[in-house]
Amino acid sequence: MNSLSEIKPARSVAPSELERPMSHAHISLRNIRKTYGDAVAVENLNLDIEEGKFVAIMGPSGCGKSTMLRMLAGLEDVSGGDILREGQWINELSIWERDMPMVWQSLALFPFLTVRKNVEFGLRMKGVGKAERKTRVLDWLQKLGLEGYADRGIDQLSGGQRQRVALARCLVTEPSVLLLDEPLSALDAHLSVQMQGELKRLQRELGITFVYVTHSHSEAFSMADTVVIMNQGRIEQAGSPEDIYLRPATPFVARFLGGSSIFDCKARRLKSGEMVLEGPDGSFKCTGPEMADLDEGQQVSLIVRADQISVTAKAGWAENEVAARVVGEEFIGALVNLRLETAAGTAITVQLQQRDMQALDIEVGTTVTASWHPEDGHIING
Amino acid sequence: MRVSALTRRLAVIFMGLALIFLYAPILTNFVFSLNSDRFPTVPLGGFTLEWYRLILADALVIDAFKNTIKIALVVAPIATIMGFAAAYADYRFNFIGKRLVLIFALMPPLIPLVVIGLAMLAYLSRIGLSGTLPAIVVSHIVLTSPFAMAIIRLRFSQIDGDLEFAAQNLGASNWRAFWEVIIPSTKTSILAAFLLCMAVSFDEYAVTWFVGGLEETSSVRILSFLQSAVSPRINAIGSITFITSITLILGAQILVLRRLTRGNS
Repeated sequence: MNSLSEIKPARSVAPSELERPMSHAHISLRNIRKTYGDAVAVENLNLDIEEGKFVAIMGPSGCGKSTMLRMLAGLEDVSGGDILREGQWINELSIWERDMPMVWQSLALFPFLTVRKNVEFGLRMKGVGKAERKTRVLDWLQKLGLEGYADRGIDQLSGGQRQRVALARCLVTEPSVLLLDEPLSALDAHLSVQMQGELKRLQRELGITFVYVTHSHSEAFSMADTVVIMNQGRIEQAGSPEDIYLRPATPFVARFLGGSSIFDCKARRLKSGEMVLEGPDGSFKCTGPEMADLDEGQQVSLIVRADQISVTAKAGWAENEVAARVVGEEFIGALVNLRLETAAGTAITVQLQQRDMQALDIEVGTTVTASWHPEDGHIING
Repeated sequence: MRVSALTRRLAVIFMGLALIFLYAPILTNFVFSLNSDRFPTVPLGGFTLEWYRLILADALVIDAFKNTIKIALVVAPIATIMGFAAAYADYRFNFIGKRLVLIFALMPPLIPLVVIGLAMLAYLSRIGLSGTLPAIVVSHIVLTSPFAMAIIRLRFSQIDGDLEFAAQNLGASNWRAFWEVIIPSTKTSILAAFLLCMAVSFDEYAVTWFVGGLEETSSVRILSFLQSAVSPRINAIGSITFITSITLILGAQILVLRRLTRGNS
């Protein structure tokens, strides 16, 4: 924090960060706000990114994830709050002073330069000597399997090769952070999966921080150490992929990730003293640790994952049951996603094995019983 | 698109006629400039360079050519820089009233030349500039910079808006990114704009005639020739002017088209 004065000597009032304890995070966003006129793009955003982690920021379009990345890179000014890197306040550093190279969604490769010159660009801007530039560029071209394309133009490359050039162009400068803005969205599914593996491997080997913005679940969950889910300019949940998958913090997260059924319920204490969850679809038991904290009449969402719900033809077999009509089925390899709807209109998603599905002998329109164990429900406030 | 053989043939004939209609007068002009007869009649007389020799010996013509070149050499760089600045502002920045600014910036070629000529004359004589070369230069800059802007804007519309920021993101300062990314991306269109500005300045006579007073450019000189006497010298000076401007315009065209086809590939 003592180097703050070096960064911004002109500022007489110390940034609000000064009074706070030193952060150990590599990058910290504190109370970040971004407004365009009256429109609020990002609000009250707090996030600590640890060094060497692969952080994926995801959310629906317009949730502010790209705005956040652009504020990190200095492409957008923040309207309020502080951005810190290794404890240093970097709010007012220019784009070119931030040293946070970015892989652009459009890739933004220089079309008038060869592959070699594209990769060399950052080093040239930093004033690295010619001989060193040459070896470092060659080194990175080899690492990404581009050595045979050094003297080609950008328009002579395939999509995957361009992707690698964009990566090499950033990584050759040996940054401590790499920003990625939906870099794989232009690739076909097969290539995208291949690049995901490669990105994760690169990040592990280099040990640098990756901040990766995406709208794709599979990209975020397959690569990231930390997944951050944003909605309407706020962070809904940040945690490990497993944490978010097993314990979504808000109904939005559960809905956004899909694959879960959400029951709106109210907590009610029975005469026996037991707490149950009552809603338009019936009364459900739940044994999760969250039950102890509930108050009588509290509004909650009961979340049940698709792989935890069973479907039977007859009722009366399990503790939590609800009758529902089959409205659709999707076959995904050996699995079937069954979409059900209750009389109250709640959508239920069930994942079944293909062979279980055949044993059930059901079709669209059939009414079945969906059931789950009390320990499998997950409760969220609201 | 599929077209029948007949439609195709008719279209070719129509296009041929249109081209003949457009270029025949210029061709005749060129042929008669080399004809020894005093009057433009067929059959042609003998081949001669007499008319060219005559105009090149005419001090008024030489002065007019000198003026033309001087003016074009001052006008083209200034108009190109102004057009570039306007096109770059359009590419890079968003501001309130941008559309209005663009409309005003692109409008001068759409205003009748007589109107511009009169307005310029009224204004320039008020500030004591009318009848001077600077007056012609100023007027030509007004007339040519919109062309420069249009050509350079066309190029900007093909450039990825992130490129300059990508350069900055890799450590290039504002100016450095501009020189490393914007200039290389637009240099051919800048050259094309430069050539076109020269060509427009070269050809322009109406406004020049209004504001130039006794100062003449080659196109105004042609006009004066026409008004005084019919002489094959007009054909000669016309041919020289035509060849000069068509060279400039073709040069600009080639540069622009090359960029376009490369951009599409």
